[in-house]
Amino acid sequence: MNRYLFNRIIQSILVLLGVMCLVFFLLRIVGDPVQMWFSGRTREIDPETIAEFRRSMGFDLPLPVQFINFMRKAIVGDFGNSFRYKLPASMMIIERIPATLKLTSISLLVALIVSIPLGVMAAVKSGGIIDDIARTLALISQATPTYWLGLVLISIFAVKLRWLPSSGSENWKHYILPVACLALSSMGGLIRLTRSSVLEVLQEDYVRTAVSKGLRKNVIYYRHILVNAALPLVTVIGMSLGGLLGGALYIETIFAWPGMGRLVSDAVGLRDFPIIQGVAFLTCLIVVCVNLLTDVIYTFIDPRIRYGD
Amino acid sequence: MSLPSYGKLADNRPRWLQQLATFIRLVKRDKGGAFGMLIVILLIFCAVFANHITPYDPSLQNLREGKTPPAWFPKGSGKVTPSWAHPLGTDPLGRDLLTRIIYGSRVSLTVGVFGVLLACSLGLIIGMIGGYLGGRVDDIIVNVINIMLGIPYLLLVVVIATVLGRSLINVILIFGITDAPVFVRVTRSVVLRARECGYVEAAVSIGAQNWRILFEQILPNLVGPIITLGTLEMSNLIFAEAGLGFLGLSVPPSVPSWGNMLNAAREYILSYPWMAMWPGFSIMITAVGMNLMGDWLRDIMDPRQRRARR
Repeated sequence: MNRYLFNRIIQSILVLLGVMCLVFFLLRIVGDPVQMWFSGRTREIDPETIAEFRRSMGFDLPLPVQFINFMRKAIVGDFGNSFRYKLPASMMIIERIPATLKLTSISLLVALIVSIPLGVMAAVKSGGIIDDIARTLALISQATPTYWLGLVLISIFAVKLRWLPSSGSENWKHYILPVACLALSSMGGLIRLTRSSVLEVLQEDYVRTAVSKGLRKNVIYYRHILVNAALPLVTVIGMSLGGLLGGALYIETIFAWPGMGRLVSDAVGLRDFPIIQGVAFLTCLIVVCVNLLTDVIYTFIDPRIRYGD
Repeated sequence: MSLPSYGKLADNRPRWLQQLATFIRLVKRDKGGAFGMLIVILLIFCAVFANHITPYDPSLQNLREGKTPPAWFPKGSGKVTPSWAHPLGTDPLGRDLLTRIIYGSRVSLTVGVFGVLLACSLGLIIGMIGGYLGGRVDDIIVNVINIMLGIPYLLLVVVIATVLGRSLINVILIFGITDAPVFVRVTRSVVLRARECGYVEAAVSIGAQNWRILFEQILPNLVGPIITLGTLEMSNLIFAEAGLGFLGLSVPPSVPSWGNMLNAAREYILSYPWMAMWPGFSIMITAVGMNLMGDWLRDIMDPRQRRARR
């Protein structure tokens, strides 16, 4: 167990290092961040300013030196100053984290509350009406683009009916539309997975034994089936967080939500690279940590699993 | 239901007719899958014959007919009355939306097909090497794959696309490379299973060379899973491409694509909501079609999986 945990932690660190290297070299080798920052300006900019900017950002040093500087700072969470706002990128990002986490965690919760009971019922009464509903909902959820759903919901509930606000994050009303979008988009995978893992457990010998012992249905459902079917779900919850954070990129842009996603999509338009790098790294950090955590939880809830003893 | 066919009379029909009969039987068994295939065929038709289907030029501006609502909308919602000359309406520059949707399918399909082809070839090569050779090489491949799958996909793509700039080739390259790990994983697991089979052992014992075993004994096992995965991944790539376009990072803005149309529609969502509807519908229908077809293909190619799904 300890050895496994150790390996997993090493692997997680490697993921983060890999992401940082990728982000750094891609930006420096494929293009010149300073050139990209100044390109597309209507006004002619004199070379003096460009050179000055390059010096102040440390982009005039040789590539290996730049890389070492970048890594040394990135390890302590310093990604340099935003080109646009001249403020530390990490500070700007940290300010935005709570809004994004609130949005994604509420959406995940809503998605779980809907999809787990639906998936279980669909599997237990496989082939019935609930099964049809669950499968249709899963298909719709997987086939509807999040970014489009956001636009549709706005044009119906905010423009036509005027029931809900289309942007901002002040009170609970502002949460309804973005949360609905994000939750619906991650529901499909969760329903499908719950359904198939319950179906699998249903065929196990111990379920048949429980039925033939004459146990009550509820006891079988909760003690025998759901507990065992929950195992693969734990990993998927960890994995769908990555998808949710990605979806937040669209949703925050559409609903003007003051989170990391909107910060990135604004930074993409401005070619403000320190912010893009910082968010990429931080999102990876969150996802990697959650995946590590789910793996550890996995071994606790299922004592049958022992890694590398 | 079906009896063993030992006593069946010899089928004298020509081979193509027999194949057709099998095909029709497969279509009848899963209506959803056939429906999915129909959508995909229609989509391919639109993409290939776009310039013959519609009389308009997708980028021709006609400001006088701009902001036309879809044909079935009630009159009086704008200055321009809706007409069947522009069934789905026009955008503020007067470009016909139906035409742009039809031309947009070209971008989506190109990215889907070539992205999946690239990802699938990379995945096949790397996965076969890893699965067949095993040992240190395999360990490295597995670790790299796990690392790549651990990164939040969309964010990675956004970062790369921002740096590389907007062009069709870049988009295909980005998706082709970032999507390869999924194919590596499937290929590897199939190769690992096939390597233990008797016929591979037999081939080894008669002294067949590695490449021959790989291509003649192991590759056929991969056809089914890879085609199924390819169909499902294609719908994922079309999704992701339109998403990039929505953020203004996919093909150049002058090219009519579903993502670019959504990006343009965002500004007008309050006044001309129909502009945003059609590209979204197109993506949705395409995704439904490809998902249904993918599930159907899995049922045909891997009958063991069928019971689990039903």
